[in-house]
Amino acid sequence: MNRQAIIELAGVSKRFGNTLAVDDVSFSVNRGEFCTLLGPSGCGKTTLLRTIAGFEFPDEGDVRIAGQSCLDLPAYRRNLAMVFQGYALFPHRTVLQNVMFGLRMRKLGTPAEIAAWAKDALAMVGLQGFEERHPQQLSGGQQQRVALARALVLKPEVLLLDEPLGALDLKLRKAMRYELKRLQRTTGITTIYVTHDQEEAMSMSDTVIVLNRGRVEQTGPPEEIYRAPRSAFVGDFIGESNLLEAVVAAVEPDGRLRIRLFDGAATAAAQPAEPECPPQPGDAVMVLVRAEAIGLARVPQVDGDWFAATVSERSFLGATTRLYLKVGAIERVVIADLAGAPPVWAENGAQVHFGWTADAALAYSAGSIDSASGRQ
Amino acid sequence: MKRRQTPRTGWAALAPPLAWLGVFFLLPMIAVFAYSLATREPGGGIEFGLSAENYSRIGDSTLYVWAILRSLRIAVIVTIATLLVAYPVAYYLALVATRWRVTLFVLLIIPWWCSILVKNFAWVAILADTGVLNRLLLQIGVIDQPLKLLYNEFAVVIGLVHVLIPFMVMPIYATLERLDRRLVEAAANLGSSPLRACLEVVLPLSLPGVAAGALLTFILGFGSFITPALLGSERTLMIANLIQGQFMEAFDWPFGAALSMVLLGLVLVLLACFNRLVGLDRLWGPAR
Amino acid sequence: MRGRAQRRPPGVGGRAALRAVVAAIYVFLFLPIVAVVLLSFSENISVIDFGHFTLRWYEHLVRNAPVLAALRFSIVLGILASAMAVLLGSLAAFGLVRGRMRGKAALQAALYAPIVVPEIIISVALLILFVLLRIPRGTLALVIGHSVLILPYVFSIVSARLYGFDRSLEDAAANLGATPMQTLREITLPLMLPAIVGAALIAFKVSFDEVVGSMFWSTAREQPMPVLVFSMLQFELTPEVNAIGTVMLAVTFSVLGVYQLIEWRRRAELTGRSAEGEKRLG
Repeated sequence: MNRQAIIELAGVSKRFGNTLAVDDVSFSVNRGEFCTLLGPSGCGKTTLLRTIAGFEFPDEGDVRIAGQSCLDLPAYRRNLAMVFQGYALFPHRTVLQNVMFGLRMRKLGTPAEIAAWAKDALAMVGLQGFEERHPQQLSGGQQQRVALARALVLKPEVLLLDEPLGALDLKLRKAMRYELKRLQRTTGITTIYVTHDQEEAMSMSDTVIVLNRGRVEQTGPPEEIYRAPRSAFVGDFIGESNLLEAVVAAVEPDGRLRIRLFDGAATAAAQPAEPECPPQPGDAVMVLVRAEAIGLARVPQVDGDWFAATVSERSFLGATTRLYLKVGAIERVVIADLAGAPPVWAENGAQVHFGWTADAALAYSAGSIDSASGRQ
Repeated sequence: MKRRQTPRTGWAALAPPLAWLGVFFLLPMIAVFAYSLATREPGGGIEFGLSAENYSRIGDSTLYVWAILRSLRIAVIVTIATLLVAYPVAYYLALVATRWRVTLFVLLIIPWWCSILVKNFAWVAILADTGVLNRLLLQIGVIDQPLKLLYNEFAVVIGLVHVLIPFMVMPIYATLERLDRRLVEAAANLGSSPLRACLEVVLPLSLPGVAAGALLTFILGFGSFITPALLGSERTLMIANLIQGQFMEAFDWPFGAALSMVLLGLVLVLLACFNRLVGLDRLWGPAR
Repeated sequence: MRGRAQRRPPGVGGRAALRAVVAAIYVFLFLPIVAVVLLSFSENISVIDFGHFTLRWYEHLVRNAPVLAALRFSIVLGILASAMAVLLGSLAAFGLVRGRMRGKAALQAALYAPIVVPEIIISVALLILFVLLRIPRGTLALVIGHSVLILPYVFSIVSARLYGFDRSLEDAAANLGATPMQTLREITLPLMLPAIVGAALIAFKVSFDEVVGSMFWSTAREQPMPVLVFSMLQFELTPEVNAIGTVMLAVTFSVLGVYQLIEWRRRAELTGRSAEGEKRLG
């Protein structure tokens, strides 16, 4: 893969009235990369995409396309193509005319050539035969593909996608994710994708940029984001996790921590999330344990630390079962995802024990708490 | 750093219409004001000055003062009558009718589309001594002499109410339509009869719409010219008729201008009060 | 709630009463208009009497040169005045809706002012101005005066539609390479056209039915229909008047009819088609 960066943002900030939508954001996207801006609503991801496209103008910072600042270029002179959230297909034009629009505006060929290219683009997204229809006559999925064809036919430097799959049902969404990824690989086009759906981001991207409240939380390939979340927010936002309050009881020689949870005397093991700056005994921390890392036992086992809990709820999710465990005196709920069918003794109301291994628990200093999910 | 162009192009687009209104709406108003302070010369010309003579003439004359008071009275009666008639219609359209709502709405618009001349003249045909109503009443024996229903205040009020109903219904309908139906249901649920629910829940919430409709109706009624001209008499002259008389018959333009300023002044006071109490955006929607 | 089961749900009696009242009000609204139309076909010298069916008054009308001239004049005036009003009103709508400026509420009030200020005042005020500027009464004065009176209607309709306009379509056009001018020409104006046409039709109607202002600004030779009818109603009442009134209704109603057709077609296009699309699968 060509390592040259094609889109660069440096220190971009944007204010809307009194709200700081984007706060000193810098990142770069390489040629041919599929990069996703991921975050909850209000995190600034759409603002960043619109800034790259030229619809918003940053208050501070620079935006560079292929090494050159594009802040002087209005939106219609940037060689980017965008697929909008509502597809933004022109209702008074046919499907073919929609796809031809950009080619006509940029005067990239004769009318005959333009029409031919447009037809090819429609074929590429599997919509040959739909040329003379109007967008209102198509289903959501078909409209989305027209929007895609309209963008791709221009062979832009970068393809921008603003939550394009949001309006589709789940099965269609998953099919489209595969389609999009396939198209991107075939054409090799640099793609910047915006979504709040972390599953979508993880499954499609080469790089994920996690955003929260206008700031970059973490950048990296999906595996890294999942395995080594650098803040409690990222850990909580991706996947199903437990975020537990704890106090550091002791720091062991190998760097691991002994933490006290659930207001009790019991302790468990955890890893510091930032080994270079580990928390000290007495510090308050947030401990991240993924639901699938929670082990379940009927009685406390010999090795490891186990906590007593009552099963308060069970959810059957198909491939996994989700158990909600209520922990003793302070009514803290812990979520455990078990593969396959749960053990017979783990029914509603039953007394069970749960625990985890040290490397499955990450301890973050209390300052990095900023969970969008708002769980205890 | 480049700024977005919209503020400039916004003013660029607004300039021609604002200039047009400036010259052909605002300037004329100023001209009327200037004329109201002028005096008519015996030769027929206008002597501009700062004389309050015209205004004092209005105040001194019982004829004109009575006419203004009469106009106010008629406007008030018309507004109340129109409100009583329009409210049930608006209520029905907004909160009760479901299948028929669109049809009824269109049916309401249709009279608005008819020329006021046609509508007023129809009442001449109906209310005259030998008109439809009198002949009907005579025929069935309720009366033995035709009722004097035309060329009096009664006819003017009927004519105005007939014309102004759509203007009253629209704002009230708009407000009621936006009402949360569940509020009425909640009131019914808590034990109030439909009538009480209407009075205690719907009515107070619809007041801004009522105010807007009443304001519009009052202004249109107060300044109306055609209806009193066609359905009234010399004894029911309203302020607009007097103004027209000064301009087209007596040719005392300064005096007519003064009368116009009195009318304008009253209307502006009303608008200012309305703006303070309710807000002018109730009339035409908020400026976004 | 009552212990015993009731045969009718509570409130139905009240509802029936309301329905009756509303029906009566609608009759009150329509009766006079229907009466005029019926009278126009009625064979009877007395203006207000019903008689046999006849088209006599319409025959009179067709031969009545001044009336025909006034009708023709009204139509031409309506076209000119509404063209002016549509141009100015649409510009105002675009400026206010798309512009970012302070004092929008005041600007809006200024644009709607000609509706809230009584017609008589605007009529005399413009008359005075015309005299001062030495603009003679007649066509020009009427076009100017009507455009002022109509502007708020156009502004209201166009700005309402503009507020609901999907800006992402314009963003998409820009993203695909269209300059602001091209976006306006290819996307915004074509999609705003139904609203603008609708506003033009309403504008025509308001101009066609305008009485008070027309009275002040017209001359004996250049007078629109309503002025002629008004003087007829005041001074020389003939049975033809009913026929004239019906003709005026016919004109405004055909305009309304066209407007409604456009609205229905537009709504059918937007909803009917996508409902069809919903039935298909991805």
